Amino acid sequence: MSFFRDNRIKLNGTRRSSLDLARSRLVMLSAFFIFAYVIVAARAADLSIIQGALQTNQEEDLYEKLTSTKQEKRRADIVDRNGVLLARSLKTSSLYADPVMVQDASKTAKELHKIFPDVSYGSLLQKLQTKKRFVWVKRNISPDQQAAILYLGMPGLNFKEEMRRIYPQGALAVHMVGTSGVDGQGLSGIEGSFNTLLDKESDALQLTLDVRLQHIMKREIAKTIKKFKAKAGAGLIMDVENGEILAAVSLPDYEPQNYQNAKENEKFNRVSLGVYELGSSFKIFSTAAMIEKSDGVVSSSFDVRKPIKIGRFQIRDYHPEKRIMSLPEVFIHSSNIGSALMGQRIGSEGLKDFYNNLGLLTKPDFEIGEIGNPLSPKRWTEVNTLTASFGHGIAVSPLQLTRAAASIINGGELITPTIVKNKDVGEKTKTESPIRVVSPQTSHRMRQLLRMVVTEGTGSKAEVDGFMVGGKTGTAEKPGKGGYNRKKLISSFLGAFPMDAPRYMVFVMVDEPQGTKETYGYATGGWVGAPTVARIISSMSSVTGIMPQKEKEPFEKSLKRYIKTKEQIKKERNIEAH
Amino acid sequence: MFRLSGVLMICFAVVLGVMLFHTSQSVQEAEKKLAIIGQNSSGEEEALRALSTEWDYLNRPQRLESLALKNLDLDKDITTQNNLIEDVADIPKAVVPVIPKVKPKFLNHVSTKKPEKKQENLKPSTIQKTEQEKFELLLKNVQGEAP
Repeated sequence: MSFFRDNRIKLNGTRRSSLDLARSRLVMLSAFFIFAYVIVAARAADLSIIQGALQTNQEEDLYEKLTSTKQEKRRADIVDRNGVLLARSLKTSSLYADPVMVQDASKTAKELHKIFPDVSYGSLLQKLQTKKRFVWVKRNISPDQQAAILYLGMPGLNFKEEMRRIYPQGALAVHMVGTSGVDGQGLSGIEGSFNTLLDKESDALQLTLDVRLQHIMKREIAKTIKKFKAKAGAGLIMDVENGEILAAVSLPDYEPQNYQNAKENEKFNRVSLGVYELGSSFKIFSTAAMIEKSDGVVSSSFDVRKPIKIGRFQIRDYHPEKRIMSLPEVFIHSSNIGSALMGQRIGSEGLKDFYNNLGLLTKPDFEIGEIGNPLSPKRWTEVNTLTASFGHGIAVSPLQLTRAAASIINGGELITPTIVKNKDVGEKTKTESPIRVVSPQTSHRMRQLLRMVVTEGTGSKAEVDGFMVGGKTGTAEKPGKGGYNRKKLISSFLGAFPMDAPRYMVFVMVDEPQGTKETYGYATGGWVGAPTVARIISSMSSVTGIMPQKEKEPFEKSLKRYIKTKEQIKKERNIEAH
Repeated sequence: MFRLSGVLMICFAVVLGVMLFHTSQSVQEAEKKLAIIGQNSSGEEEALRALSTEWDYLNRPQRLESLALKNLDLDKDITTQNNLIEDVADIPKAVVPVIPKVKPKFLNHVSTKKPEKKQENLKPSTIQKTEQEKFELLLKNVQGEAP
């Protein structure tokens, strides 16, 4: 304005208007720049004064943590059938060092050694003297240890939050639940086989195990191992209707947190990975095949007076009765000769097919990775048929044996063993139509026979008043150098209850038990396995809610006429002698 | 001179700028608050997870059993001959408490009906009045005008 006045120039018309236009543009431009500077100044004030206050007051990483909305991924829990925790990931702190920032390495190492007595001073000093910028000192430390380190206030020591897998039940179900490494990756059991799923899912993976039953089973097997000075033991409880495993124990076991230091013997899963010649328990299958072949008739008889000789082999009985026995007698007295004769009558093909249908000759389908391949003769000859009839020359896992026996007594439908309750979570979702392995009549007869083994046969020590226990003993000599070793036994008992309507199958196996004074030196299935199963069933009742009931009349009554009394046997022998 | 519209535009832009700044500041504040609340809640959640793990650890069947054996008289075998049940029908039925249809008399003295007579309110003015009267009487006594 003054510029125009000083020059005393007056413009009119088009020139004046273009000058006005230029002037107003100039003003607008300067206003724009002033405005822009104001914005820049305001932003600078915002960053330096307002937001800066928060950053100077608090640690940088805390600020980052507060403003980041990223959700931490954690591995899914594993729970039992009642929701009791078996495995869970919890946040813990891990200590790392920046050796460049550490001022006095020897003093720091000395102080750290006081807090972590399990880590040697030398290794700590070595770590702190490296020229790296990052070195783990100790991972997954306790809150107390963290507080002690913070109290030291030494430079160069920092914490990093990590996830640690915790197993509240300890070693209780370690062979089934499995273990995981420091970085959270599954190594064995369900942790190993469901590794990807556990990392991906947030919902807990529910197993069919019941920690209470698991404890009962572990307690009783441990007692038996101690009593008979045995090397190892295993056992499982299976629901005969759906194949759900309620307890699976393999002893000796180990603490899952201590996986790296566990011995091979402890890590070995005897329930599903170990395969054994289980002996007389196999008579359940040969007898079932025999009854099935003869359409439910149990009146057939077998001459067990002499051992069977075939080639260089000889089949003998442990307690030779030396007479003609009926099928129920062969079963309850556990006659090897009688069972071998049954196998002969069924025929090699028939017996092999029957075992195959029961899943005894193939690797079972199960949710954990530790599955043993059953051992059976590559070339199945007649000798194999005879020995396989009483459980020799064929090795299966306790899991396979229990599954096959449960399939026979549950009415005759093949079940698939399972340990995962909420199947829809896993990828192994299958809807199979039931496969019939034996007829309901054969199943009923087998239930009666198994009950009879307990009431009148070799398994009398498995009886629990009111629970109508049935089962079959199994005593097998372990194969060693140059044949079977008579002193090294695998004694087992396969029980089920209540036999009129079976709910659970209980199997117990003990490796190399030594006879005691109390058992008159015997370490057979009837002395070792049967009482253990009885104690388990007795304790189980309060957990499963099965009430003890008095039998109105013996369940096996209709089979009793096939069992000869002592007087009858004596009479027969007298006649024979004359 | 500036055109009025130009000035208005600048003012409007400045006001908008201030408003925008204010909004962005409040959003940042709210975000911080949210993050702190989120942090606190995840901390609580973590504590709960740790506590429930501890609960299951303390309730291990092995521990409960040893505690029960030590402190309770529960080590008896339940399967003694005396308590066997011969028939499912023998199991006594659970006793269901019977609720009488007619209320016992002693329960009736509390009436739920509305009282016919209204309770007199004790107004503050009445208290004040009596206090006033007392005071006046006192004054009269002091002054020797008492009857």
